[in-house]
Amino acid sequence: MVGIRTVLIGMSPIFNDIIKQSTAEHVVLDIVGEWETREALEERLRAMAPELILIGLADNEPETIGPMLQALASEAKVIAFSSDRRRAHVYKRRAHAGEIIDLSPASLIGAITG
Amino acid sequence: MEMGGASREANENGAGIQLPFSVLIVSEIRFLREGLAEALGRDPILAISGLAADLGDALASIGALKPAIVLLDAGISDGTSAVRRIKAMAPEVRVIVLAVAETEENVIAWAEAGVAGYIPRTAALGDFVRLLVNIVRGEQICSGRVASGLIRRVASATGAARGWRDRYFMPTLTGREREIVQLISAGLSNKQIARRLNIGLSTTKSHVHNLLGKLNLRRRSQVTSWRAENESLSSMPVPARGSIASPHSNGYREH
Repeated sequence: MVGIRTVLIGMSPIFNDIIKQSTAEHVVLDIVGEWETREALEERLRAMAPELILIGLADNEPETIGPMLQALASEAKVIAFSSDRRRAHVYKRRAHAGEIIDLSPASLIGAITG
Repeated sequence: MEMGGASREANENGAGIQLPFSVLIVSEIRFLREGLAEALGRDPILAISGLAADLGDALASIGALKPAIVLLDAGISDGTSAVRRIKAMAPEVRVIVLAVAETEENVIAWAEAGVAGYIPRTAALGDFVRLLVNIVRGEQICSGRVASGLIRRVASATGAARGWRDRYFMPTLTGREREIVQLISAGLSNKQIARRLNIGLSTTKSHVHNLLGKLNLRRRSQVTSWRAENESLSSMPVPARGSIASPHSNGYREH
C-alpha cells in the first residue's frame, strides 16, 4: 500500500509521534519530512512535493498559512493545528477549506482520509 | 501476567507501587490525552485508569480512581498550583509532568511544586514508558544544562545557609580571646602573647584553652585556618607590642 507523502512542521516530537501512532491503523503516512522550524520551507516543500502537510501554528500565527502552503505544494492537503493544539484548519485541494472544532485522533483520521 | 523488560526492571527495583502502574492522564488538549492514552495503553506495564480535561476533573478522578501516577500536561492552566492541589489531596500520588521545556527555572518550579519527575518536551513517545519507570524508581534523566543549573542552585543555597549559620551560630569570643586568635595566627607563642598583652603566662594558657574549646579545635595551629574562614576577624589588625595595656583599652568588652 502506497503511503501518503507527508511532512510534519513545527510540532513537538511527542505530538508528531502521537499523530503517527494514532493514525497508523487507519491510514499509511509516508513521512518524508519532519521539521521543527520553517527554515527554507519554500525550497523544502517544492523538493518534497508532499500530498499532506501537517503544520503546528505558532502563537498568534493566522491559519491563513494554509493557502500559502498550498500555493507552494499544489497537490497537498494542509491541516494546520492551532497553537493550543485544540483545533485544526483543513485546507483540501481545489480550494476547499473546513475546520475541526474539537480535534481528536478520530477526527484527524477523517480529515486525512476524507 | 507476562511482563516486558521494563516491567520486570521496575518490579525488581522496588518501585513501591503495584504493577501495572495505574495512570491518570490530565491535559486540556483532547488530541494529546486521547492519543497518549491509546499509545501508552498498549504497554502492559501501564494501565490508563482515566483521562481528565482540567484540574477539577483530575481531582474528582483521583478521588474515585486512586491512580498511582498522574501524568500532567505541562501546558495545563496554572500548572504548578494544580500539582500542589493534587499533592494536597493525594500525597501518595506521583505527579509526572509531561512535555516540560527543559530550562533550569522551569524544572525547579515544577520540582518545588512537588512533582516526582518530568518528561521533557523533546522526548519521543517511544521513550515514554522507560522514562516513566525511571521516575517511579527515583531516577530522573535530565540534560547536562539542567543538571549544571541545579548544582549551581544547590551550591548557592548552601552558601546562603552557611552565611546565615555563621552569622547566627558564630561562637561568642570575648575581646581578649579575639586578640589571642589574631596573635596565634600571627605566629606568636604563649609566652610572646603574654608579653604582648601584658598578662601572665598561666592566664594566657587559660585563654587559649577556652578559645580552642569554644571553636571546637584541638590544636592551636588550627586557629589560623579558622581565622582565615572568618573574614570579620581577619580584617582586625594584630595588636602591636604594648598597644594593649588593659582588656578594655581597645574597645573590646570582656563577656
